[in-house]
Amino acid sequence: MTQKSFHDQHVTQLSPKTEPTPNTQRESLAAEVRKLSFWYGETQALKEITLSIAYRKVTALIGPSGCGKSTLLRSFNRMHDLYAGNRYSGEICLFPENHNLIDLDPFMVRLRIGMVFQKPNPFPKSIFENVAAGLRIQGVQNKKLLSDRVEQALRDAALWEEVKDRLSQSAYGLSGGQQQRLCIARALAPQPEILLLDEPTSALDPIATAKVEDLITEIRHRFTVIIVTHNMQQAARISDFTAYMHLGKLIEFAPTGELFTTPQETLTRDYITGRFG
Amino acid sequence: MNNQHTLRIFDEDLNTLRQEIVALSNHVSEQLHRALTALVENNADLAEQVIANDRIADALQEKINTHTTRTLARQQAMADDLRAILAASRIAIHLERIGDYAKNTAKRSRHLARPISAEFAEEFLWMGKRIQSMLSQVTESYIHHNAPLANVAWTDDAELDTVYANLFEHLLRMMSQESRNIGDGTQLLFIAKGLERAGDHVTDIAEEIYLMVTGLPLQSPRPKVSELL
Repeated sequence: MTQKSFHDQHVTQLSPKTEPTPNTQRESLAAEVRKLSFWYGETQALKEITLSIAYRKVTALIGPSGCGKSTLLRSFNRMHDLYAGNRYSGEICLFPENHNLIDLDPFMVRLRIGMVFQKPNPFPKSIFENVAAGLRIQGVQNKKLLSDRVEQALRDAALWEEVKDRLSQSAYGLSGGQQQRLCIARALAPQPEILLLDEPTSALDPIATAKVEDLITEIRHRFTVIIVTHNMQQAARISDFTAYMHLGKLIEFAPTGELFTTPQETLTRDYITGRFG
Repeated sequence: MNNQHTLRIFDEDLNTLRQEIVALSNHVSEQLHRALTALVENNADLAEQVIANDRIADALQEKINTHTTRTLARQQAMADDLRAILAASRIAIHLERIGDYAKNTAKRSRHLARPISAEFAEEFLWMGKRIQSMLSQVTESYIHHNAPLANVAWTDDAELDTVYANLFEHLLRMMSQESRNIGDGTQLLFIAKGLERAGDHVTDIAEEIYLMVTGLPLQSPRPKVSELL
């Protein structure tokens, strides 16, 4: 049985809100942030951010605390909508349709854009059910298909070999590093177009961190990844592009190799060389 | 631009590297001066001292190598800090090689059958002074992150190449005039070639400094000695 993708079911019938981006650009971009501003009540946290997210590449957002990087990341799956008084202006357009996700139903957005948080947060369920959760929301009921997709997601998260014999056991029995990879598997199972990672290794030890970094470099050929990290070496190791943010503004955006060796902006240079503040 | 790291030990590591590079540069410059003095004054004792003191350059270069590796491992440097550490490592290699040419000059000066003529002495001393001047310029540019000054030293090498080309011809003429000159002439040819190579190492250092300061390679057409001969 061939299942219609979520994209086909829910998205393609929506009409574009903005001028279409040229085809050549669409092929290389997963999304584009256009003059995005964001306010927590009266406090402006993002100031006219414009940023291209490359298709099936890893984009890292770095910057000091309070610079807006997590705010920007959470805008991608409309997390801010959970709290009253928050508001956006500008656009985050998803390609190839060129839809502004701020105008879409947040529920639909979250099925297209997965997210993993700083601390592992597995559901109080079995390992299998954790990974299957998003698939069930998508409406996948066929047991064989469900089982195959769970296995694939666990393999993508480099966890399959460690848990294949205890899929029915509680996810709470896993180590912290395994729980985080389980959360990544859970986010990957619905095959999101973009995977958001909000400091995914800050609570992990170096070995568990290396495993997560390794799986990110493995999955980037099939998923677009945006990662917020305070660890600049991590951004340098695993990302293709890096954006440096400061006080709600995008200061510099460049291929990672260039940004960490020859930054063009003094603010970027001061931050990445440890001269900040 | 803020030049103080939040982590002050990083500044200390970089300052230590900088001081060691300056010390190595000053040492090989002095070695070069003493080697050429030994050559033109036919001073075997001075030549022996130069040969013995080459181990100081070797030790300094080894020390810089160790410090660059440790600093890279400890500080995970980025941007201009990363370029400064890599530049220090490469500059030290070039300086050590210049020290080798000074040592080689001293070694060969001991094998000359006769003192060199005033005319040749003048040409060798001119080459030595030019290399010392270029070394001084690149050292200044290294300390003060002065890319234009590095470019000046880089350009100055062209004149050194011209003088080497002339000296090469003079030595060939001397050897062709009298067969007993061939032994000394050959030693002097090697010394002259060594000095010309020392100049090339200074231009390499200038390129390293330019890259360190600007993040860009130093590229413009400059005649090669092979084109002058």
